[in-house]
Amino acid sequence: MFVAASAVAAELPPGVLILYPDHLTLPSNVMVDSTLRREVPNAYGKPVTIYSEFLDVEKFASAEHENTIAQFVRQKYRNRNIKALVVMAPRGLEFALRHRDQVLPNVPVVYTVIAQEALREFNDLPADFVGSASNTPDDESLSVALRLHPTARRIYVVTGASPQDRRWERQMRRAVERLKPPAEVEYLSGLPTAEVLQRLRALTTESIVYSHGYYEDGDGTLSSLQESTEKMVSVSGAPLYSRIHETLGYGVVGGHVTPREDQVNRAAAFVGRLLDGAVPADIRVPPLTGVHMFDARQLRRWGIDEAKLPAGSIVKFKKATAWQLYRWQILVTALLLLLQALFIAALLIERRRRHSAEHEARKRLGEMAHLSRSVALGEISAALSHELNQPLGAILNNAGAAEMLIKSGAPVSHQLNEILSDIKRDDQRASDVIARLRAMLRKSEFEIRDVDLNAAVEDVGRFVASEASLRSVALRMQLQPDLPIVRGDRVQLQQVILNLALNGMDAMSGQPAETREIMIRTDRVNDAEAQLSVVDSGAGIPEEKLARIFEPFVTTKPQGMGLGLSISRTIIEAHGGRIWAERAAKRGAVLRFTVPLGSTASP
Amino acid sequence: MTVSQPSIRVVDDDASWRLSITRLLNASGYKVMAYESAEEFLQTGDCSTPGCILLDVRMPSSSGLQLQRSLAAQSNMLPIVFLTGHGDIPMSVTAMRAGADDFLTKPVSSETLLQAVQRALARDSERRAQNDENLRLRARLDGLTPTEHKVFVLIVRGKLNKQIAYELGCSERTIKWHRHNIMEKLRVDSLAAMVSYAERLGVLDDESRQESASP
Repeated sequence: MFVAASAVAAELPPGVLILYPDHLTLPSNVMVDSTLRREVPNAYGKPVTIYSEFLDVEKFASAEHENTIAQFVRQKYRNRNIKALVVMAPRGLEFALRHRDQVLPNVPVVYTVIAQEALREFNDLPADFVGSASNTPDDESLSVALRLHPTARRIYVVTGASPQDRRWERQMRRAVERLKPPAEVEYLSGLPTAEVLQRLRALTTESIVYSHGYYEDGDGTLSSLQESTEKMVSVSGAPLYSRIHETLGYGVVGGHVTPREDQVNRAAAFVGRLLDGAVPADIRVPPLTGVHMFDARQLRRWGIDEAKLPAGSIVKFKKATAWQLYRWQILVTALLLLLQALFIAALLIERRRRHSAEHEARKRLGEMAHLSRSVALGEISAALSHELNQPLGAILNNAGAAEMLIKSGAPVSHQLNEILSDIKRDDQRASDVIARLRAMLRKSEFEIRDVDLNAAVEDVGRFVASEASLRSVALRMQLQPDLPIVRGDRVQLQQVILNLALNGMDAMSGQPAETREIMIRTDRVNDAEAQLSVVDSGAGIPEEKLARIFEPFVTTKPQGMGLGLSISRTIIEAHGGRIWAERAAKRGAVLRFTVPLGSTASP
Repeated sequence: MTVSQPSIRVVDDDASWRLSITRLLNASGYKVMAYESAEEFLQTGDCSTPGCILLDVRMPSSSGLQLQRSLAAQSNMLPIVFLTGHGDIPMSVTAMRAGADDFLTKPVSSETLLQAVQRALARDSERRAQNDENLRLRARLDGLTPTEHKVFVLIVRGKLNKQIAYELGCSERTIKWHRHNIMEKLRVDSLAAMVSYAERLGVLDDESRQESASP
């Protein structure tokens, strides 16, 4: 039976038992437990089983309880191949010293979470008790408190009634003796909680409270360090300082502490070495040094400037800034915003570029159209000069006639009246021609407006008619009555009409005069478009050239540049219309274009 | 022939121009007949009376040059003054070659226009006078008998009486008698005058044309 049990124990992976003097639910214990469970296997490198026991010997500080627990632990872990025992706090160390030999004989002990000051009270620890204490005497915490509160005149040192409480009291008294503080020190030791609270309630900021909390008050009421600390802080009119890590965050301003994690990590390392077979006596390390650690909320509460804290202080519980809390979200958001801003900027730049490009294109179109108009008008200059010279000649004749009539001395006033009114009419005729010419030659940017297409055709038709008669071409116009208003640039549309008409007349130049006919007609094709057609009676356009005649430098004329129709296409396309050529029904060609109707034209 | 006051035919499609030129010419004492188109002039115009034509070269449907050709075909004698809204060199050359009397560019000053009209009218009356003379000469020539006409043609071609007699198969004396009658009828007194008479009426051309056509 025994052999079998031993065999079972030997086959189990090495076990480590952690003994906590208090109970499981304390946050500090939860942290310690999870740290050890993580770090011990890390340090050992092989499978290891971690066991935790919570002695609760602080609250139940009796020999009877301890014995019961010791027996229980012995029974429970007898065959668990326990290779190391970890004990917490002075109270845990005490328990190990008393019961280790019965509970787990010859199992080395690693003590942790214990102050150097407390460790001194344990004289002559056995050789297989190893560990490292934290060097955080109460002196340092007290002097920091005094530095931060230079006006403080009294220090209240609060301790409880349990053995650990009394141990702390002893340590504190020794520290005060060493420190000889400028303030008066009063010890509130082992008082009932109610009384402690009553005393603390009366305090002002001219005092400092120094306490690690207590396990048991003068009435024998048990509590955790955190509970008692919270109670004190909730009523105290003076700031509370402590050197232990456990109560930081429960209302303590701060102190010179050793972070619990550091101590536990070191203990885990020791356990790992012991499991590896190291001799306990070889494990000797200097004590851990503490750091100044404060609670930001309490600093704020007591109006303590962080700049006055000792160099290298750690301030915990800083209200996390949005940056700390949502750093990645902020970074990502900022990045997205930046990208978005860049994108918007790019779009704006692009828009501006496009705008100026459009503007440039409109200007170019305007210039090109103007040039082409000048060329077209140059082509019909003979017709134009005739248009002008007719009225001018008539004016000259009338003036000459009037002169002679006056010289003749006969009564001629009636005739003179007629002559003068004719002169005026002819003068008007001439200026109309010039006005039309100027309108056509005006260099303007492409601008879409409402245009009466028929009126525009009639206007340019005068030039066309003049040119047509000069070229012995019969011109007919067939304008659809009530043609709706179209959207376009009047001058440029007229230019296209002129180009198409000249093109048609050119196409017929080689044939007998009596067969030369050109017709300009307007139609409403549908609800959206009006159409203008120029029909000539020339030889027509070869099928293969129909599609190409609107391309630049494609011409059927020996002296043509082939630009007129290409510019016409550019203009019509800028209007959102179409331009194309067809073969006429009988003979000749039809050149047509469409332009969109104005919005008011829609029924 | 009847001698009447010259009238100026204005052919121009521009009503305003027609009216103004009519006024100017009227004020200068001329009779004016205005036509809207070449067709109208060809149909209703009368080219027999003295005057001249003021013609716009560039008119719809039928250009001035075409009218000029049509008139020439009708052996019109009226001088034509061309008017054009634009001085187009090829067009003016064509017009002048075809017998234009003047070529003016609109707008034209009254002086220039009236001078051109005067020149045209002077040419017209001169041409008419010449024409009348020719008609008179032609009438006298027509008064010759067929034999006398044959003898006349041979005389102006420089044939001697003897040669003519031989050619016509009669005596030299008969020829002399014909010659005397011819000079009497044509009212000429020398051989030189007879030759110039024949040249003026184009008798020799006619005869040679007949000769070349006959065989």
